[in-house]
Amino acid sequence: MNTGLILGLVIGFGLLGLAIGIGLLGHKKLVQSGQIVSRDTHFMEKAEIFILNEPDPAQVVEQIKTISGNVGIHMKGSSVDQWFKFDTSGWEAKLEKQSPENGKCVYRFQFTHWNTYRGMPEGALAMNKLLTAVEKMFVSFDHETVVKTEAVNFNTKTKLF
Amino acid sequence: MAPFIIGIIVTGIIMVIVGTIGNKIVDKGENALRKKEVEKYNAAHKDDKGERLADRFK
Repeated sequence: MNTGLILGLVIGFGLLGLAIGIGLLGHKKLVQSGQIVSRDTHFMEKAEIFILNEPDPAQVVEQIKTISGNVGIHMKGSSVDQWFKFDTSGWEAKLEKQSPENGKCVYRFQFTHWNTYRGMPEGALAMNKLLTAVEKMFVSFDHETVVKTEAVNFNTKTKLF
Repeated sequence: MAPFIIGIIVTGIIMVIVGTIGNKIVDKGENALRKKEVEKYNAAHKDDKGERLADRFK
């Protein structure tokens, strides 16, 4: 076989391996720093239901306001019926307070819209960061917070161009 | 030259029509399959007691 071809393949695969390694290292660093949690690739397809002791609604608002990143935050409702919407150009999510369950307070978080590229969600890292921040917020309110997951039914719409 | 341009335009129109209809069919099929999967997952996890959230941050 041509030596140049072999050399090219070796360099090509070497660079590919290096790129994958750098990506994995970056992911590991984010996990270690607590900015994200290692999740299933399609984590955005499931809603998370948080069950905890009633937090102060004003405190929830304050904590939500501190969530950083290029995420637009909109709030609606009252202390009884809190509702938050998070949006970016590529995805949207909502967090809403639901009816109490066995005397416990219930919040439901779910991604409502996201763009994909070749079947992969485009803003997965930012989505993971937001979900992690929301989870940490609930743990800070009540260390014994319980989380349940629920698959969400959603529709895909493929654009022609 | 004119038949060539007409050919390009007709091909483009056919591509757009076939692409649009094809995407709709694929999306419809995918959505129907997902709906069944979601129902199956939620039925199987209906009685789940959930997990302690703090355990994710150990």
